[in-house]
Amino acid sequence: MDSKVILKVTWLPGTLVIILVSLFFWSNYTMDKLDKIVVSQTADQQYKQDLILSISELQNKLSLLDDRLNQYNDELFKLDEAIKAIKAVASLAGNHGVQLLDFKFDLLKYLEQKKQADGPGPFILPFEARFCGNYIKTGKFIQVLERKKYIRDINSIKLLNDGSGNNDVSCNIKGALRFFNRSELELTDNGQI
Amino acid sequence: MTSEKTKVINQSNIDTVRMEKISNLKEEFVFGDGRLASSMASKILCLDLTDKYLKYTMFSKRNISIKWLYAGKLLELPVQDQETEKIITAGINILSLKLNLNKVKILIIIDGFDFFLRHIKIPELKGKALIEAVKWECDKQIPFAIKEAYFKILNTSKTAEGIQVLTAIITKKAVDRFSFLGDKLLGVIPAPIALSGNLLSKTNTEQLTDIVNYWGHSEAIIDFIYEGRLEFCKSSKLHEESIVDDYLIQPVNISEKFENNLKNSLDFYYSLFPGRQINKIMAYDSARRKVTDKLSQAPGFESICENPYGALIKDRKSLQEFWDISESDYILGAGAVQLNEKNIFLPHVVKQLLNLNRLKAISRKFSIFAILMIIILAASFMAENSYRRKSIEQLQHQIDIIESSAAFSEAVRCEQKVNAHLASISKLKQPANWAADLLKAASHLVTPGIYFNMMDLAKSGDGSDAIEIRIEGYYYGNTQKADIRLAVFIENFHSYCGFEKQNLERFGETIKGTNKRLNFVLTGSTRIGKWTAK
Repeated sequence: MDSKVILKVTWLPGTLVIILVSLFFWSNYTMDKLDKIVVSQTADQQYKQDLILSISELQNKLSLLDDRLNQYNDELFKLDEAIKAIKAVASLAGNHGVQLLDFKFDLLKYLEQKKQADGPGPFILPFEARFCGNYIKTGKFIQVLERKKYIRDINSIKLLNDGSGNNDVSCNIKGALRFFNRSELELTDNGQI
Repeated sequence: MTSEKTKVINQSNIDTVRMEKISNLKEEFVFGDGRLASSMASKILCLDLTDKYLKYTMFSKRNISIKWLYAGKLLELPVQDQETEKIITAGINILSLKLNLNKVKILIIIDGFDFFLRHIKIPELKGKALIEAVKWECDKQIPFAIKEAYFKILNTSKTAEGIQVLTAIITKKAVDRFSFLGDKLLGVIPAPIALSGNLLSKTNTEQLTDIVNYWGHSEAIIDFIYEGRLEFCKSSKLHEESIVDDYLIQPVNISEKFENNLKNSLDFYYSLFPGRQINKIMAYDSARRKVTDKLSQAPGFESICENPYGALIKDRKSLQEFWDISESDYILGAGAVQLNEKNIFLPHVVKQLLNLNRLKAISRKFSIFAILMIIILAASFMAENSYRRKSIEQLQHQIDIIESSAAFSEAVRCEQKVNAHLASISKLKQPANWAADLLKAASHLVTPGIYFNMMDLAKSGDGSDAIEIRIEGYYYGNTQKADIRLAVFIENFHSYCGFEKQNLERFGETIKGTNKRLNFVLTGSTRIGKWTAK
């Protein structure tokens, strides 16, 4: 039989089959899409219901976190309290019988951070400090200093003995100070900024 | 022209009779009411072109059940073949006035002068190879090219050398002239095959050959039937009282000629099938009237004439009545309808048309099925789609209710605060303390006689937890213990603080009596946590 004749006879069922197959795949695709929406909405609904049910739990957690933040806040200085921070270091050293000889930080970087600060922080400010004192007292001072919240970390320590035979050492510390503005966090939470 | 006679043969007591006068109708038999035939059955109109008149027989056929509806004679047939188309068309027109021929298929019975039955021996082959071998052999055994003929394999039987194929061959010209009937044409059957159809149900069970002898208006046929199939046939032209033979120049007396003809056919048959035995000779029409007695005498076989319509007319009375009136006039139509498709020849054009019709029918059915499937799929999609969209709407509505509640707003606010606090706390977490602990550990490990001038501890600049260590100091003590003390310190430093030595430089060695002073510079590294774990 001529292929034209065969085509003439079979075009209708062929077209219908194409429509049928297309419809089948399209309906499956659409159903899958709707199924995904149903699944995601069900999960969303469940999450929101659970969120409402867990409100007291959230409030307790918030209270605990508030307390922790307050603890941090009590021990941390605000960004514009750099002098206070240096004084605290000097005071801590003095309390341990160690003398603060020098304290240096990058002033330009500090001012830039202050200018650009748009949240609670924390803001990190590298410093270099030189102390001197009895080597045991110095060790105890370093131990306390290292645990202070306003000290982000200590990067290096250099202890030097002048060789005079006494127990005094010169101690050079490189580290970073940390500042935190708790009040800024409250403002952000309340959406006032 | 008016109808000459109309007979009604009742097949059952409740049959109604339909008698109408139809012009050009020579003779008609109605078997009950043809309209009562099952609508599931196909109707077959056999047109016999071998007689002086166009004879028709109409049947309803369903599987193997055949019901005879009508029989009759219509128009006088022309001598010229060219006018056959006109006569058939006229005959069908006449019949269509009386009968519903809408779904009737037409079976044409023609004479056997263009027909050949050949036994071909070929090697054992199958499929296309078998067909090609049969064509090749047939080409050698017929007086025209095989491409000008249609052929059918009627039977295959295994022999010692291969297979023997019984092949029916007919010229295309004889079959194609009925192409004008289109898809109404069921097929064309040569008279010798049609005649054999009557004996299919009467086959003897003793493996004997039956001979059927039929003399029509212009043709004498001798069929040899064995185990329900035509095995050999001989067709001769008749001219008034003489047989015109291919190899006899002068026509001879019919009975004498027939006797010779039968004898020759028998000889040929025995040569083809050695050992076969003849059961009886059945004679019909002129053969019955003119030579039955002589047949019995000459070859020495029993010659009988049985009513051939028993397979189609069940009622004994009707059977006898029909036989008494028509004798064997409709024997070819009755035989043809009992044959299966493999005995029927079909013009190539009609075959293509039927294939196209079949394809159209399949296409139509498939289209309907596809449309139904599309409807079902679309309906199920719409239902499911609507159900899911409703679910989504309900969920969205519930979510809206939850979101509009004060409790949710409070919970969201709380959650946001908690997250912000957690983020801040995570940023405020201090890294592990190390400096004081390492200093303390190192000072405890210093062995007697070792003094430090400088100790430098610095975190690695690459962000890892490695700590670079540089110690400058000196040993002062027993001359012999200097190296041991230094080694013990380094070993302890390694064991307890994970110190990995990189370099140890010793210099400025001075000895005062039993004491020695030795300066050293020790460099190496450790990792945060190594000493706290010890």
